[in-house]
Amino acid sequence: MVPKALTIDLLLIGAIFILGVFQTRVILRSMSYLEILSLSFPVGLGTLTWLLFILSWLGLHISIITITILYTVLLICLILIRRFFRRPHTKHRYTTELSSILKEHSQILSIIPWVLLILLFLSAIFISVGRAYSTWDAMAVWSVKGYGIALEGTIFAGRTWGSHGLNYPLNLPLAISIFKLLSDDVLPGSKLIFPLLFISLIVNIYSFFIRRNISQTHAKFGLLLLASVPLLFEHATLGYANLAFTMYIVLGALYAMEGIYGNHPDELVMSGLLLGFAAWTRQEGLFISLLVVMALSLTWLISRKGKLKFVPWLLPLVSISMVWFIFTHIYGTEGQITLALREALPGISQGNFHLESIYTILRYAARQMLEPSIWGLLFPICLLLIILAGPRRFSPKENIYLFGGGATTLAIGIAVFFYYYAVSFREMPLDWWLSTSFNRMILPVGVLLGILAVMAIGSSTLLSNDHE
Amino acid sequence: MNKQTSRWGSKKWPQVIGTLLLTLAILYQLIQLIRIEILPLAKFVMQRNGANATERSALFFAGKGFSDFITFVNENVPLNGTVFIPRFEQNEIFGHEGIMEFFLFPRKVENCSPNIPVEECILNLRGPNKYILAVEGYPPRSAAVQVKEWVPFDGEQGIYIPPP
Repeated sequence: MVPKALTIDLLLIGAIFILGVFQTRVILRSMSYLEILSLSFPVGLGTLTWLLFILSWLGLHISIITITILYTVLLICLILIRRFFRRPHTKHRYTTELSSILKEHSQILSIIPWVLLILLFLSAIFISVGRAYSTWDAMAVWSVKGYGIALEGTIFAGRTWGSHGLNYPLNLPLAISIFKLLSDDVLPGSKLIFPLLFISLIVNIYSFFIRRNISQTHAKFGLLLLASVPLLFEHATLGYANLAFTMYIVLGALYAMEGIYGNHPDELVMSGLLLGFAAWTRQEGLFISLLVVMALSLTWLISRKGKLKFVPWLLPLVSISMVWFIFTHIYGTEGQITLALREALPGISQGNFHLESIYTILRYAARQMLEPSIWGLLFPICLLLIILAGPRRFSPKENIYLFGGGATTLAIGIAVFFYYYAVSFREMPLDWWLSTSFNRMILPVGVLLGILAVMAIGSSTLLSNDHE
Repeated sequence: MNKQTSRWGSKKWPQVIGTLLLTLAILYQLIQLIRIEILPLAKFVMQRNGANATERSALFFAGKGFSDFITFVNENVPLNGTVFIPRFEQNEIFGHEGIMEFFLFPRKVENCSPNIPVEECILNLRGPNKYILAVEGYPPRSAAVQVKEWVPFDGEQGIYIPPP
């Protein structure tokens, strides 16, 4: 039974990956193998679940047959689009072809980081499936909702199965429901989703580093720094939505920067799609995605570098997120963010500023960020690297990507801070909110900061020797 | 100026120190990660080789006693049964609807409405497909034995099943 289920699960992952390959090739005119490798699974997954969601809302019964038909139609459409709307290939923005990497890494020493990364990835896969769904939200929210949807054949099963009704976006529950329908999720094969999204994030960051001319040494070290952060690795095995959300937000921000500053509309479409899937993965996704859009638009206004094209960028984001937004407004209850704001605003307007909460949040944040068993050395090392590289490098004149990335990181960080400030007005004690969710809420901040610090210290303008 | 000298020249020292710091941080993190995360979890998984997914979930979540009890309940309640669990305020694990739905899937899970006394709710649970999960302090025994048959697991833990 297990080998059969494993085969079906792997075939399903392969099918989602193939869907993503066609989709990314339709969107991005030029891309490396590493980009195909890293983007295909998350993009294919988000697209399949989102369309399944719409069809189920329209009344279609979710079953193996309907999923197969949807998948086939989607694949045929993508093949036809590629065939009949073939656009001229643009010049490669970078060279991260696998062959060139293999050539460059023929020496034993330069292979070590890759070997370590592969071992980390394999460990994450083994642990994720091995521990099954075994933590609160993984069981009570994401997986059981997916199982309920598979059982009843409709997204509305999410209202009665699992906690929080239809308040949480259904990207992961629907993905899990497909595994349940196909293989009964006996392994559970759906737990492969989480390490695969972790691998997608790490590999795509490497691809981004190379596109931005970061030295090979620093690019590989940057990946290891991020992949070995205990919290990030833990989330690759947990079954929570935070890592999937982080992956969509971070990659959405990276493609947005390339789209704006490099004047690549294709990358803006990819960014909009990824940010839309972020809103389709976590409740706060739409809010954070819009924050990324505002932060990067502001950096463009200040620097005037590149071109800001809102239509290709916002069209996928708005299309994906608005459908969910409307659905959850009809069938869900009030979200955590609006609930927190609704309870905080009257208090603030009456002069009750909860100043002690500001101190509590900052103290808690500082302690957590410096806790090696949670964040490793990520935050202190990033701070040191930025100081060493010189904070001036974050100015728009020196490096627009560091400026844009810095603004995005800061915007998300401030938003998370204000979220906790707002929940301090709610009935539950602030300590409870912080201890149950703070670290996972700042996952995108940690990952973005790591990327920026490595970019600051490893960019070719500082390390000309590496490229000689 | 040769390459080595230029690396240690005034413009290159931040990168050298940065690379060194990165290396040390990675080594430290990898050791920490292997020690606190990978080895204990991998050991846990290896030791449960052969257990099914629900058993592994239960073992990891709350230990062997919990896992054995969940297996017992699943064996005694048919797939179309509805299991009545305590309220969350009474028991944070066995009273958590989402958690119990996960472990008892595809059985339905419900708890008594807070608007009526528990005794009254229990007395209304007649019918062939209604089961009551018994844990410490739930359900009131005097009410449960009037409508169901007691199947013990361990101590106060067990399941009240419909009489034949």
